[in-house]
Amino acid sequence: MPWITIISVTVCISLIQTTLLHHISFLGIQPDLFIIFLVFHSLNANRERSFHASWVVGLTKDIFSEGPFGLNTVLFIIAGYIVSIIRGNIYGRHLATQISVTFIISIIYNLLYLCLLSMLITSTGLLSVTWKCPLIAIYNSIIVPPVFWLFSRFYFSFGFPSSKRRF
Amino acid sequence: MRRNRDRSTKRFIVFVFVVASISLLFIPESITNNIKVTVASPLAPVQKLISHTSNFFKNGFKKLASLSTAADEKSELEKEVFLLKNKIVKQQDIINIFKKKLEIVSEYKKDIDDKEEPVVADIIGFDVSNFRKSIIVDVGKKQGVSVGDVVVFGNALVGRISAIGSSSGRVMLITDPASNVPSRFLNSRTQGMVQGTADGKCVMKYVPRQVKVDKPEKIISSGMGGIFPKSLYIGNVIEVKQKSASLFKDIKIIPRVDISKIENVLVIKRKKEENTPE
Repeated sequence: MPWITIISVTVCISLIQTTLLHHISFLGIQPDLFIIFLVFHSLNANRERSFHASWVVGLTKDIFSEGPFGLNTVLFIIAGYIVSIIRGNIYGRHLATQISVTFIISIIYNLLYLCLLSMLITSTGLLSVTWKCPLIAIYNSIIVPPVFWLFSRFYFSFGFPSSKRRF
Repeated sequence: MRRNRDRSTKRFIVFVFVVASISLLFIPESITNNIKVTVASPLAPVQKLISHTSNFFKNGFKKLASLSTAADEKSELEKEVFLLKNKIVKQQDIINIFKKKLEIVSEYKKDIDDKEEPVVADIIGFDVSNFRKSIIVDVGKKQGVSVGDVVVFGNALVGRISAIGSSSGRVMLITDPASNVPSRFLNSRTQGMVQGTADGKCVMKYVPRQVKVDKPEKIISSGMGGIFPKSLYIGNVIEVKQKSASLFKDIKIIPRVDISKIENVLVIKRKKEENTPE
């Protein structure tokens, strides 16, 4: 998987996330396309490629977000690594698996992000929004079917090695 | 043998990436902000185009849904009422200041106002994180905007510029968890600190427990610290709690400006002081 394709997809995701997704926000929550892309990539690529994608996606999220630079990069590497580990033991082609993995990874990522952020910026109001984590995970899971379908179509046309086999 | 070498090279690369990622956390914020805006700046025109197009369609759908011209009049009137209410709050505050015979303060305000220049900025993007609250605006160094400039909408406080690029800037909203705005109650004049909570609302900290707070009380910026100008409308109190052991009250505030409903803001540009010849 060439770097240029990962970067192109990430840039597209960033543009959509920064400009369009706030229109479909619910209770101030919007779906996180970065996490969904990370799960998609980690389920379909080998560990090395998944690592590269996690790093690029995390770094891009850091660029388009306020706050400590590098936090998302580290957390995305961890999230990508977790998916790579469990990938061998699950049936990643099934929609239920994709939704479940996205849900679990979203919860883990958001909780870790919230904990680390509350330590880094010493804000007292942060932990009071922990209720957002499951809601974000549910929202991400809901949009998994169309987003995964779009990603698979895109990667199929660009010759993603495992997409031909899996999708 | 070669396979083992390849594997160790790959592991080394992964190790370098991980170390590089962790070390990013220790880079000073001023440098990382510059990196962010420099990398994100080339995308600003595309963001602007997408934002304008989506807003155009959003407004179009809204108008279609209303099925009446009264909706336009209503929204215009709402805007007018919003602005007038904010102006009233500012005027009320000025009256309070006069009541207390603080002529020196009002002179200082006049002096501050002379050094400010507003710039209209379109909102072209929002923060990608669900726990941070910032927006991207289409003004930057080219328009003379600098880090720390205050951002308002109709005399109500929105936030301040946290990072600036050549033609775009990032605004940290007052609802961001890292935002702290020195503030006070409009009527009782008690001071506190408004902090963001990442759920679109704010909390007012350090208000002593003995202070009486009514629910519709308005909160304005106090001007302490010199970062935010005074008398800017911040929001209204919606909830007051008092824990038995706490020295301070827990006050929840709803911000005056709902950022999801506006398309542009006003950046208060600070004029640079001219050097007078000796």
